[in-house]
Amino acid sequence: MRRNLLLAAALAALTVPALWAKIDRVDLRVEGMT
Amino acid sequence: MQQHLGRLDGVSKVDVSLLGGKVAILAKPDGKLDPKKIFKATFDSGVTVAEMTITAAGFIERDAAQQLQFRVDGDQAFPLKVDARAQELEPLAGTGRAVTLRGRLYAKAPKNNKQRPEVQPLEVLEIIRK
Repeated sequence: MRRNLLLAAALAALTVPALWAKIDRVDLRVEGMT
Repeated sequence: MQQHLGRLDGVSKVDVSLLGGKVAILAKPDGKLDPKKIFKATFDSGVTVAEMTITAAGFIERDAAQQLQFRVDGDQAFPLKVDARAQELEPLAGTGRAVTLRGRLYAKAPKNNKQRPEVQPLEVLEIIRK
């Protein structure tokens, strides 16, 4: 029972984009920086 | 510029390397990091952006005009530049499957080009995971 709940939670985390979709980093190359 | 960018929503850390003019902006887990705001804030702080890339997890979908786009949350989706790598992602459109990629959102135009600088369609540089 507990195992099934854990599996269901893991599956939900994988399939709900709001939980994993995001920007991790932004990299810039700039000119004129002092 | 470091302080300027560090005050934006979703920014966890800003690493600046004067050598080569490289700036890395790391995101908080809240998903509020917005490349368009970073782009504008960088120009506003008095420096010129030569190139901007993002590393992000999201999914591929089609917009109203059936063009491919990369969505990273409810508010942010980036149209994909049409090329071979974008074609590689096409079968994933509408499946909701997670894709992690690195892509270029801006590259400075040649000197004689007077075009106003703005974020461009996302050019996929590397498909990290799909």
